[in-house]
Amino acid sequence: MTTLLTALALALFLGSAVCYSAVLFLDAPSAPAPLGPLTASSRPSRYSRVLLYAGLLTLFASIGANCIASGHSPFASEYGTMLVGAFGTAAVFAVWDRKTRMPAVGGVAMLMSCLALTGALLRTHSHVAKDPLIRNPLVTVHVLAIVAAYGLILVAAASAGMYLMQDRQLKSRSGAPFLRLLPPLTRLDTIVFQCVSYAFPLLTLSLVVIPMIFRGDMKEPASAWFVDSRFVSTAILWFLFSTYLGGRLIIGWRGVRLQVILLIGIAIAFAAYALPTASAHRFN
Amino acid sequence: MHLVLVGLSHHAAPISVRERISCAEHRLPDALSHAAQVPGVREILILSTCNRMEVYGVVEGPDLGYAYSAIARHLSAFHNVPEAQFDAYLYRKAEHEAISHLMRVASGLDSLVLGEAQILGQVRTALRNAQESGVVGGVLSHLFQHALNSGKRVQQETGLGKGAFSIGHAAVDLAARIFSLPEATVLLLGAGKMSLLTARHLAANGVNLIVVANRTHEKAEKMASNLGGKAIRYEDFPDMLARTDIVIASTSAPHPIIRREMLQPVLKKRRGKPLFLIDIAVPRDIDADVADMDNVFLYNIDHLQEVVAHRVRGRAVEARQAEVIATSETQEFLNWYRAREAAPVIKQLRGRLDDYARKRLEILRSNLSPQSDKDWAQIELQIHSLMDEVAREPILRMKRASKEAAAPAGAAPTRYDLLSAAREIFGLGVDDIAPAREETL
Repeated sequence: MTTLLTALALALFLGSAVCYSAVLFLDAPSAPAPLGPLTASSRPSRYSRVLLYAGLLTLFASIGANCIASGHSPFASEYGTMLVGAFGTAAVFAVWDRKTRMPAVGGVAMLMSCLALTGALLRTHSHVAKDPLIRNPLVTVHVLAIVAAYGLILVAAASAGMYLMQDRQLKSRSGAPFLRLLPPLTRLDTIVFQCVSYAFPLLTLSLVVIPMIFRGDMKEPASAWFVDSRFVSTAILWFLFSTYLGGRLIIGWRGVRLQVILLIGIAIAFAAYALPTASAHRFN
Repeated sequence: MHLVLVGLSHHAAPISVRERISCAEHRLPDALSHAAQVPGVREILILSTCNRMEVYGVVEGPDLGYAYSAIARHLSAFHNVPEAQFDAYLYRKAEHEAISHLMRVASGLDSLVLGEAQILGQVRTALRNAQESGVVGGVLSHLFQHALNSGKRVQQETGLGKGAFSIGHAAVDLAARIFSLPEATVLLLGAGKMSLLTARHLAANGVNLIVVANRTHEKAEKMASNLGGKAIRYEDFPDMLARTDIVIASTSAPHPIIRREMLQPVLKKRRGKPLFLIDIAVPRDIDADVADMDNVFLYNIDHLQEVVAHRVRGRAVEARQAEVIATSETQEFLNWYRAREAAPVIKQLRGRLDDYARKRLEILRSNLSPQSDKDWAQIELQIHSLMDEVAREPILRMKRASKEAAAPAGAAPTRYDLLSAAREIFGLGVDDIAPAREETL
């Protein structure tokens, strides 16, 4: 049942990603009347929103079905965690999309959700952790904070990437209309900043609760945690974001270099995340 | 006498070359009187826009090469630029080629933005300037009137210029890819027509504030009130750069007014906030190396036109219709131009025949016995009728020959040598045939 719902959610998210991406190519601003404002129609964008909301509902149902079927929190298995990850990314974008229409960001965010769902579908029979630690409500807080933060980070990375693409296009002055509807640089910069601003306290929260979770119940030595790939990844992101926010708010950094630093940092963090883990993150 | 054209345009010459020999409107009278001093020049007209610099002339003498060189030398001397620096970009055309070229230019067919209407105003201004300077006569005036007519017809009868994405639209399109326009501040440097139009487009798209700086502060104030913005002193514009998002530069300064050294401290103050520089001046107002700076986006007139050209491609049908109009106007002018050369020959022939008739009548009066006035009137009528009969067919054929000569190359074999033949047969000296200025047949 849950697999079917996940597959359906994947199809809906995929449709949404296609529609958001299509907006970029189909909704080119048309030649206006003399002195008139540039206009763009938004029919594909409406479809993409409908598909996004339908996908979110389906995925929510799938996560619920998975919890009922396994009798554990979704974070007891890789499959469930990836479902929540995909849900988090899509939900974060849906909130953005209500605030400001960003088809370009939508195209990338939905694609990332699709990748997470595909990964989940490849792990439908993944091991369910039996560790009683999983039942600790702080684990739920920890994982939810991490999932929301990573959703925001993915949107930030997508926006920073688009910032660099837009910058390159404008610098090249080729006049080619390719990807004309990428959001303006200043708005992308704001999205990155806001994503990082929200992700930073979430990452902090997720790190702060770790000692509380393991208080008196630590199976591994503390040093094992410090070399755990997930922990290292989160720590890198935490330092990266604190530097970003400090530079931005105190020194006033902006522009291309800041986006490059952020993207490199996120790439390193994600590379670290992909390394094998030796701690509780093994879902034992 | 030849109609010649020497010029260069955006097709081959980069803006760095064009700006060196472009002619600001206030310098045109000097340029025209300088060009009029070129030996052999009877008429001269300069068409100088941001995309082209063309000198049209009516020159005497059989050597076209000499006329071309003389005009190129004038360009070099007047603009103080060595000929070697622009000679490779020059095109040289004469007669049918030059006429056809102008018709295409005025019709917007030679523009980077196909069908743009602005060139029509520029052709009109070029003609007016030359007329005011007294350096054009019947030929160039007539030619440019036909060119204007061609341009007007293209605008009215074809869809070539309709719905086109203008420079202003391109500026808005690009600005909207950098800023959220309702939050953007625009600084206008110079109070030219192009910058006003571009600023109007930005204003229509809801920019936050428009600030105008011009050397003549009154002009800046007038423009600012026109746009609902505010005017600042020209000297204060460097300080304003730190608080501006979009700069539209279109001054007539001969050298760049915004340089890298000026922008470095400005960018520090902006702390990475993007700066969009639109340079629509020729010569350029903003140093080209500014484009390499981080978070700075510099677009000059060529870049903007390229953006526009991308948006208005695929107008092949309209372009063909416009070509037909330009060709028909070329043909009409050529008919007039050639006929104008036939007119003095025909006039000479008629004069010669009238002389014969008068002499014959004088002989008759002295040799014949006295006749009544009625009889003399009859004799005079008969002699003049005879001369008319003799002249009718040659004149008809000369007129036809001049029109055939005006036909496009390859359309029909030319019989234009009939004019020379008529001169030879009737003994009409070349020297005593003065070209008619405004005559038509």
